[in-house]
Amino acid sequence: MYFETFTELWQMAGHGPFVWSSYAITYLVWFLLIMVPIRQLSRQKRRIRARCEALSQREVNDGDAS
Amino acid sequence: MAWTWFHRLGSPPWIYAFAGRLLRFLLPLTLLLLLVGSIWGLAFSPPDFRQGNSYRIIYIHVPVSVVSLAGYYVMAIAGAVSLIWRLKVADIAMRVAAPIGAGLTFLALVTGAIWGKPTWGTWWVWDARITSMVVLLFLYLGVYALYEAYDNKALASKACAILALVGTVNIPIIYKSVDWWYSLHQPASIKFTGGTTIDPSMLYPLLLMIVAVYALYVCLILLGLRAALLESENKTKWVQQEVME
Repeated sequence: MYFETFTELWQMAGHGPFVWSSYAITYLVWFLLIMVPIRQLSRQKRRIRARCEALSQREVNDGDAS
Repeated sequence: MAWTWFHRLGSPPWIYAFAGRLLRFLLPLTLLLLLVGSIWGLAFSPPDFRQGNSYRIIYIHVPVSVVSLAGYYVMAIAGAVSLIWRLKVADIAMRVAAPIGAGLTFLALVTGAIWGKPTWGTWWVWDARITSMVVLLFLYLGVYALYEAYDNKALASKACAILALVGTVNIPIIYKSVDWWYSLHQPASIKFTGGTTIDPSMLYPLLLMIVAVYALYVCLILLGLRAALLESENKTKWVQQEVME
């Protein structure tokens, strides 16, 4: 490691707040960009599955009635 | 036979399955590359003799800037393919690329502003490079907003594709802005022709981060494609089979 201690790494001779905030914002945006489609996909899957199950249940009920 | 791959690219079930298979190893690999590149740049590369440690922002600022520009071409090419061949997958890819590109351009602007404060003494200047990057952000947001604004989605796709294609004129302006106008922004440190003005100890982690952010871009497009394909094809048999498995 270039820095002697973790405190030096954190402070970066006064540039720490600039460097660490840049990385924090970047990783936060990357995290959101990854999570939004993943959550969207699982929400869609749940909705489609519920619709398919409701449809097959209705078919069973219609079969019983006839 | 040689064109089979091209026809496959137009098939939503094939793209959905292919993207899923690719993501299974590409996403963990990308996260690993990002982690290694960030730690290398933050803790192991030496400080710049003039800028000190603030230059370490380069390891995110340059990769997100480069990929935000390349991403615009991806969006414009997808728009052109959707306009010419009416491929549904291309239309979806164009729509998916807009918010991803906007996110990366936003990061390029924010990390640039944070880097500007200790280096230039100011968060912001309206110089050619920065202003043309703001235009890029508005182009990405414009494509996204334009699609949402139309009720007729076929018309919306055409309008978005045209806007994306017209906007490509901004990309060479961004690339050349530091050469064409007097600018606070430094010229490119990595050059394909001529000498690269960056020491290998700083260059290698930077190249690693550029590769990692390109890989991240591919992952984001694939994730977005899968979510959007499932939504737009939700009444088809293949989606129902896929979900009920």
